[in-house]
Amino acid sequence: MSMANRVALAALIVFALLPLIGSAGLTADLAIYFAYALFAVSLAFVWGQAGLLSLGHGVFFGVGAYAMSILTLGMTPGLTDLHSTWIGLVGAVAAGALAAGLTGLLCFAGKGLAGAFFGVVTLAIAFIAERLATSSTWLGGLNGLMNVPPMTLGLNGEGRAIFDALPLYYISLATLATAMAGLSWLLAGRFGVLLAAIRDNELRIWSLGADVRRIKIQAYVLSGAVAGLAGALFVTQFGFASPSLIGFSLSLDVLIWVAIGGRDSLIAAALGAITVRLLESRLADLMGPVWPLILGLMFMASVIFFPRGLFGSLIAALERSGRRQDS
Amino acid sequence: MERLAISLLDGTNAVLVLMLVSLGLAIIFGLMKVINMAHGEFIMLGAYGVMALTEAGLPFWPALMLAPLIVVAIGLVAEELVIRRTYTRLLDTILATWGLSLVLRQAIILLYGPGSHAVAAPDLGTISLFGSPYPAYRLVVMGLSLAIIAGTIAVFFRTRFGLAARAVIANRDMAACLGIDTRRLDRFTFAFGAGLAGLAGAVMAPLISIDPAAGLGWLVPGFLAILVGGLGSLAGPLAGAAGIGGLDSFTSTLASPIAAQLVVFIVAIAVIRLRPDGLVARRRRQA
Amino acid sequence: MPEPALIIRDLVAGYGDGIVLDGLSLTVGEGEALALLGRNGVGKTTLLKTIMGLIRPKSGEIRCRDRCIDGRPPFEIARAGIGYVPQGRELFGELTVEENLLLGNLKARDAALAYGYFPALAAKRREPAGRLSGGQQQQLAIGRALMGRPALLLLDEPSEGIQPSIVAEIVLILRRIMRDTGLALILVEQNIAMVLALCGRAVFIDHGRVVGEETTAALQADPDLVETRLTL
Repeated sequence: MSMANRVALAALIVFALLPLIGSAGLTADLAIYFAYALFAVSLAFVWGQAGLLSLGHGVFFGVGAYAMSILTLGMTPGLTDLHSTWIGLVGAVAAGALAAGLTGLLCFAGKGLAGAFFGVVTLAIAFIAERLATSSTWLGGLNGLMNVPPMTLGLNGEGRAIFDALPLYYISLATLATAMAGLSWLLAGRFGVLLAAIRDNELRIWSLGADVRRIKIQAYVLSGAVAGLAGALFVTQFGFASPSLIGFSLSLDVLIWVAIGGRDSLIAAALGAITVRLLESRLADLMGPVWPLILGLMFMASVIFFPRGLFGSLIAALERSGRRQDS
Repeated sequence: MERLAISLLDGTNAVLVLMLVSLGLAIIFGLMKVINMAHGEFIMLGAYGVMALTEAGLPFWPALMLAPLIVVAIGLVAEELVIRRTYTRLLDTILATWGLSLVLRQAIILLYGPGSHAVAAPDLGTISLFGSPYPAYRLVVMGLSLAIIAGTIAVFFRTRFGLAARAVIANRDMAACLGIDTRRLDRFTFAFGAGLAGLAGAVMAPLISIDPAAGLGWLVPGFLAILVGGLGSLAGPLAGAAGIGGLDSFTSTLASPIAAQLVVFIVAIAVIRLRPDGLVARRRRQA
Repeated sequence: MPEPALIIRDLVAGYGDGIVLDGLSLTVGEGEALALLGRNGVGKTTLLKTIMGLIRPKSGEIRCRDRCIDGRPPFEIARAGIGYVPQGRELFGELTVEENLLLGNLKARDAALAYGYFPALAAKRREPAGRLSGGQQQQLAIGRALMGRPALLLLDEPSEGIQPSIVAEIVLILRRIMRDTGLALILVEQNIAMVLALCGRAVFIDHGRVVGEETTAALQADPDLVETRLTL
């Protein structure tokens, strides 16, 4: 088993046992952070594995959040009785996937947008999407959609509603773990090989007989779907969806989490998101307005000095010491 | 009729400033292959510079000249600490400059708060154009922008320095083998690009709402202008800025600013898809 | 005793983690023209690029006129007195002939130095370099390198794609320059005629190091010697 997978398994065990020793507040916080972690995983998937630097990834998270909200608030045009959590989740995943697919078709066509400028275009999309959401009265404008109902087990909004911290924690953790397992399984197979070839050197990939453009779009759609799921998971706990979830500030946040955590493996990105959010919740009040500056400096430092990220470097170090023990 | 004329003048104003922005971005990218995501913040720093200097008691025109120099200094520091260390990894320079943009924004918020500020335009009166009074300062802004653009073109095509820059843009390694100190040129170029941005911001200071987040509103159109116009020559970014800026002004007046953003973006993507090398593509001749 | 134009000792270099030059040593005397011969891929171009600083050596020493130049950036090496005419010439196709020449020495008042050696270029001074013929482009590439008044000129496959009469012309001009200025030369060439006409000595390269050496007089006397040396 690879070192990254081993670390992921260890982290899963730790988090599974954590509510037994941690405070209720920590449990509730972490339940939301797992949604952020899932979002970070979706970015690490396209960036670290496929080399596609998406600067506006928040769009997919936000679209998932909004879709979930609309579908569970009974706002669906023509289907005002619809409150189903399950359909909401499916809708969120589909919305994220669709948005990603459109972006991919736009950007990866023909000659394709050179890797560097692709990032700027995704940023432009996030910028515009946020403006659109803010100016849409149906979507609640600047305030967004409020009173988004929590998850309900029934088929259409009836049944047991889940808003206690503990069950939310485990549902969140389970969703995160399952999605990560699924993506890791994909990456371990042929798809992962193709993505790595794209990331490292596109010329080589022709010999593997693959359509670069189609694979990029597939990876991006998958990422969008996972991000949409993360958005849905988030909004059922947080209770409201606002334009800031679509726009560039959350896009920047997730970039920071993945840069600081590590882009090369999904677990590093997930741990990065959780760590940064934990730090922020503890330090932001203490440091006040200086905190965003510190975070920005940490981001720059990690890009310049630790391109593998904190957890990425840790995993690499563990790999190296493991190899030395074997030889 | 007067409203149309005023709109045209304001539109021309916006186009010329966008040209300054795109030119700076294009020069930095063309020479250093660096996508400077902090360019918007350099613009805002120019505006904040004018604000700070005038609040400190300096008259407007000296403040206007000094503010871009402050931005140049910041650009030099950024080049040394940030760009220098990442420019072998193209995607990482985007991230590093994006991080720089965040840091600069937060620094501004710490110094001046998150709200918006204003700087009073110097009282130059108005000039009667097409039957209505038009602020003379805006005409000065247009004139200054034109002069700077012309000056940049002159430096590029008529000086030895510009020749060296064009060579490095065309073939960096070969230029180095001829004895051109490419690293020093990088520093100058980044400083020059930052200066252009700072100047754009300084000159626009009395005309805009000066707030920390406004930089992004210049970065995105600036890059779209470059992508649309093409990077093969100086004409590309200028043409792109004219197209993007003009379309934006036009749609903004006709419909709304948000519609303008949408239209500009869609048209820009369409153009890039149809002509990936930009509108002013030059067939590169390899020798 | 005049300083050698170039001393290389135990040079190890390659691309990424690979090794192409594996302990190569050679010396070029002042005013000497040295040919580098060897099969494709043995490292001749890599050697020139390493001398020029485009590739960082992993170990070893390079000295030009008793100045240590290994590990220095290319622009410093150029200013130390080494001129480079790479394979494919690498001219700035969009810039004019005059602009290309001036780039060879940005401090020069004009390009008269190059026009003196290559009068054909003067007539085309405002033409974009990309529009010149192959032979003229080669002359331009050499002229550009000469503008910096180098002590040593590195030439990589200069005769590639040029008709023999122009090659002969270039050889004559280079011999004249060497006589006038004491310029030294390293020539990487497949065209043995050019090697024999221009150089006094040839070294053979294989597996990243020098495996043999002959005077061109010896090579001229025995036409099969080159073949034998290359296949050993």
